[in-house]
Amino acid sequence: MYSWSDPLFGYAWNFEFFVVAFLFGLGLATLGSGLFTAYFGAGKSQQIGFGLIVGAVLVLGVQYHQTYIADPATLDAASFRYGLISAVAAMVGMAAGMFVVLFILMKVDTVDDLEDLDLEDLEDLDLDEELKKLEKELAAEDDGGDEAEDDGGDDAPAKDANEGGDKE
Amino acid sequence: MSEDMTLALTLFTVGFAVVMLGMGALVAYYGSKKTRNAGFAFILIGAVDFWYWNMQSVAGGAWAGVAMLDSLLAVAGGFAGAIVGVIIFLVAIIKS
Repeated sequence: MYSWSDPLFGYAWNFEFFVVAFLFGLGLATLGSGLFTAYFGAGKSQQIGFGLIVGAVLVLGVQYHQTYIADPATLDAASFRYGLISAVAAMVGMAAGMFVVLFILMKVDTVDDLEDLDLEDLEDLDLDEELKKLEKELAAEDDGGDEAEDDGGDDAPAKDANEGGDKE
Repeated sequence: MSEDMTLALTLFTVGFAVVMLGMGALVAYYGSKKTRNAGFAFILIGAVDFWYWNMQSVAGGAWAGVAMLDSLLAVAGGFAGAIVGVIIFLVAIIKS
């Protein structure tokens, strides 16, 4: 019905496949996400899930109506069947590919950074000693910082208070 | 083998190869050491899969009877429809 003769490849493209598969992709993806949201969602999300299911049923229903019930039919029955088979087979193939990739990645030890880590250093580490060293370093920094930054400001209030007391 | 079964096998092979090549490219680019090697292995598997599809259909093998180019058009349509469906889902969730 919607074919176009391609002079470059010498082939007549049947764009009805594209329309049918587009509608199947839209309907199935909306149906899947709607079922997922309606089952796992709560409150407003669950309502959105039900809305998506209704939308998917409408898309697939209109497509079925335009193929098998409407007279004259907008879409060809053979295109409907081939489009459905193509869409489902491609989705199953992609799901199988994803499964293979995830399975191999889980089986392969992919945590490479741990190999670079020298675990012997960690085993010899005495945490108490390291903590004491850190405390000493912090104390030394505090002392040094007080001496360096001591401009008499901290002592001034006490001095002023004493002076004030003497005057009274 | 029936024409429908041949079509399903063909599209399964194409879908599998597309995922292996796409995921392999991502894993090989972002992974390091063993992960990267696994990515290259995925790309190799995808390339072999595509070569097999080519031998069976385009080059005149057992799947030559299937209107392969129209089927690829169907896959492209399915992808586009699925993406639109996911966009609708995301917009509905984000706007709520």
